Order: sequence, then structure tokens, then C-alpha cells
Amino acid sequence: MNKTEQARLIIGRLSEQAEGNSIVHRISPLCKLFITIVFIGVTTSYGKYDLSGLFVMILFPVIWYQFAEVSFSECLYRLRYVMPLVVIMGLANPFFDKEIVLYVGRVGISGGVISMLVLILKGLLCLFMSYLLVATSSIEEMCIAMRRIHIPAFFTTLILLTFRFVTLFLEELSVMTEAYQLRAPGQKGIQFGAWGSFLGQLILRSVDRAQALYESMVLRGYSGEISYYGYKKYSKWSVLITVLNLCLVVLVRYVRF
Amino acid sequence: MISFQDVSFAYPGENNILEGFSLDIKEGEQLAIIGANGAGKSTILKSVLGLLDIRGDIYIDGLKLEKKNLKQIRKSVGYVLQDSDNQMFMPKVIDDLMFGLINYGMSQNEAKKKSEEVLQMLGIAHLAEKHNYKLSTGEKRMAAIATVLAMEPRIMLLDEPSAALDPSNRRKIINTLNSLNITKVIATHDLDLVLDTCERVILINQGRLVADGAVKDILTNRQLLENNNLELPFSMV
Repeated sequence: MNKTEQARLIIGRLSEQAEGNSIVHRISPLCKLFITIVFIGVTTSYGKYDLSGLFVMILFPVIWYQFAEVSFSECLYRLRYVMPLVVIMGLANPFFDKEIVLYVGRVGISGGVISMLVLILKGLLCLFMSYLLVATSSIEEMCIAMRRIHIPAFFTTLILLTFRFVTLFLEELSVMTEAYQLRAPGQKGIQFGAWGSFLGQLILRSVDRAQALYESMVLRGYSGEISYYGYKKYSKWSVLITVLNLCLVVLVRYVRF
Repeated sequence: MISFQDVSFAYPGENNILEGFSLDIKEGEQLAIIGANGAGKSTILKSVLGLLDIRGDIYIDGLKLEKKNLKQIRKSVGYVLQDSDNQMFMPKVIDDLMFGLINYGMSQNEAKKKSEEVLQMLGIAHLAEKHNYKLSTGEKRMAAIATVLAMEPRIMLLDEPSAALDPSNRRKIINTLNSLNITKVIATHDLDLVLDTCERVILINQGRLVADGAVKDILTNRQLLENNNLELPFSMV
């Protein structure tokens, strides 16, 4: 199985995972979206040297992952390509901010190092909570949640169709890569000289399939906005969890013990 | 029920794929459109649904094929695409069945009930909650037919329904088609399937109508078939 096919299967698996039946899966998607947005907002609001304060925020993903029955190691594995980018974001700080703000024993630690760690931690926490949202809600549910907060239909439909198009694009890429590799034994990847025609063919094929899919949707009454269904309605339970989470986040962020 | 009147079609800058095509299909008829690859079979089906910018007129149930009638026409005409992957775009089979029903105003509960009934009728109720990307080719084809049947079309257009199916799945499709009491137009070059499912057949070549008649007359005419790049059905050799 080539890597593209694997990527396509991972997308499929994520959709399946979103259909779980844990406590977190049963929470209304809008509440989960709200919880995630609040968490990201509060996490990013920490001061650039507030490492100790930010550490407490780790509790939230830890607890949520437990309740969601989502494997944290799988999350780390899936995000393995994105996490280095988060780390890179803060790497320049130690070079610009060299003022010593803390001593550990005799070793002075500069503000740049602390702010780098804070930035990395903020990035990772936001990433983990976003992954949790994706792993416990399908793309359709998230689009419905966005519609509920009056995000324009054009935007949500665009997200949904882009998601579908990515899957389709991967399918075509997988078929073409396989066909190429079968006639290019011993070659690693696609030869540079073939990139142009390969990409051109890939785009043409994907657009062709996207057109066929679009026609199929139009023939079944699609008129610009996807009709969403299967939505988990607000329940007292969802609202209670959201309010409780909000209170805890505010408590952790603004109350110093 | 469907009337083509001097219909022509060409992609911009290319030769005509359909040329002066006229045909009448009666209600309840089981019609096969046969022809070699590129003869224009799929083009004929697509033109009925208003997916192509044709010249000439098409009438469906007395309604002229034009923009203002498209919604009504598309509700009564179901189209099963050649490639089922293009027909199944929702995450799960049941979602795909409900998609059209909800778009045409059915409530979520009604749509779900109707979809489950159709799946039950086709003997594929076990696929309801299955993810589309996990279906086999045969299952996908049956599910694609179900998505169309759920809409209760009065006319069903099928493009190569038996392509890429193993004998057992092919038989299943044939039985399903025979059990449906609606007008069916099947574009195919699987002539044995035509023998099993249709009463009338038209033969086209390079977008022109070459022959129109009863299945037994056309599919036994070796000369006619061979002149148009086809062969006698296996069961008649």
C-alpha cells in the first residue's frame, strides 16, 4: 500500500473514530466547538513567561482524552508532521531575548528560553485539543455546529466540499502513483522529469471526478447548501459539561491559589 | 414518456457526439442503448438530465427540458452513474440515500425510514451504516442503485450497470432491475444483460441511431452488430 492510500485510509479512520460512543462523542458538536475555541483562546492568552500557569492547562487535554477514549499516542503519531512546525515557531526566541529571568541552581535561564517553551506548549495544547475535536466530531457535525453560530452556508459548504475533494484527490493520486510505480521498478517516488505531466494528469483527473460528483449531487437536489442531518441536539448534559469546563478554564486561568 | 427531437451535441471545438438523434420511449418500457465505446450512449443519458448543452428538444413526461423544469425532471428521473464512486459522496451508505430525499423536502425521520425500506428491499440493509470507502465494487453498485431508487423515480437511467462486476453481483443487479416496475433505459455493451432485462433495443454508432427494434431482432443480427463493432451475445453464439 502506498503512502497516499494510507493517508486516504487515515481520513476514513478519523471519520469512523468520530462515530464513537464515549461521553465526549455524545456532547453536542456546537458545545465541543465552543469548548475548543474557549480553550484555545484562554491558552493563547497566557503571558509569554507564564510557564507555570500554562502547565496547569495540560490537565484539560489529559482529562478530555481520557473521557473521549481517544488514544493519545495515536494523536502524537498522527500529528508527527505538524508538531515540529509548532516547535520551530518558538526557536528564534532565545536569540532575541537573552535577559536572564530565572536561575535553576546556578544555571541562568533567559527569557527567550522560557518564552520559547511557553510558545511551544501553547501550540501543542491547541493542537491536541483541535485533534480531539476532529477525533470526536465528524466534518459534517462541525459544519452544522458552524451553521448554528451563523457562519455563512457558503463557508461551511466550502469546507465540506474541500474535505471531500481532498479525499478524491488522494484516491486519484494513489491510483496514479501505483500505476507509475508498477512501470518504474526500483525508482523511489516519481522521477523529476515526470512531475509536470503527472501533476497535470492528476489535476485533470481530479477535476473530472469532482465534476462527476457535483453532477451526482445536483441530480439529487443539491442547490448550493448541503442539508445537514444526524445532528446531535443540545442536551442539558452537553450544556452542563460546557459550562463546567468554562468555569474550570476561567478558574485555572484567572484565579491564583 | 421521453421524446428526443433532432438532438445534437458536441463538446466545444470537437465533432458531434450526437447528431440529429430522435427517439420516443414509452412509459414502462425497458430500453437498452447499445453501441461500441464512444458511440454516444452515456451522452444520451446525460442529455435527458440537462447536464449537457444540447441542440434540439427533449421532452420528459410532457415537460420540455429547460432550466425552469430541471428540478421537476431530475426528481422523476434517476441516474445511476457508470462509476459508483462518483455517486457515493457521503460518509455512509444511509447518508447517501438520505441526501436526495432531504434535498427534496423530506424530514430527517421520514428520509431515514424510506432509506432503510429501500435498502431492505434490495437486500442490502446490512450496508446502511457502512462507510462508503469500505464497500466492495458490487456493494457500491447496489448502494448506488439504492440512492436513486430511494427518490422513487418514474424513469431510471443506468450507465453500464454491470461493468466490473463478478457473475454473482451481475446476476443480483439483473434480478434487481427486473423487479423494478418503472421505465428503464440502460446504456451498455453487455449484450447478455440486455437479453435478460430489456424488450427494446436501439443501436447507435458515432452519435447516430442505426437500428431500433425488439431485442430478439437486433441481438440476433450478426451482420448489423459486427458492422457496428459489436458481437453476438455469448449466449447466442
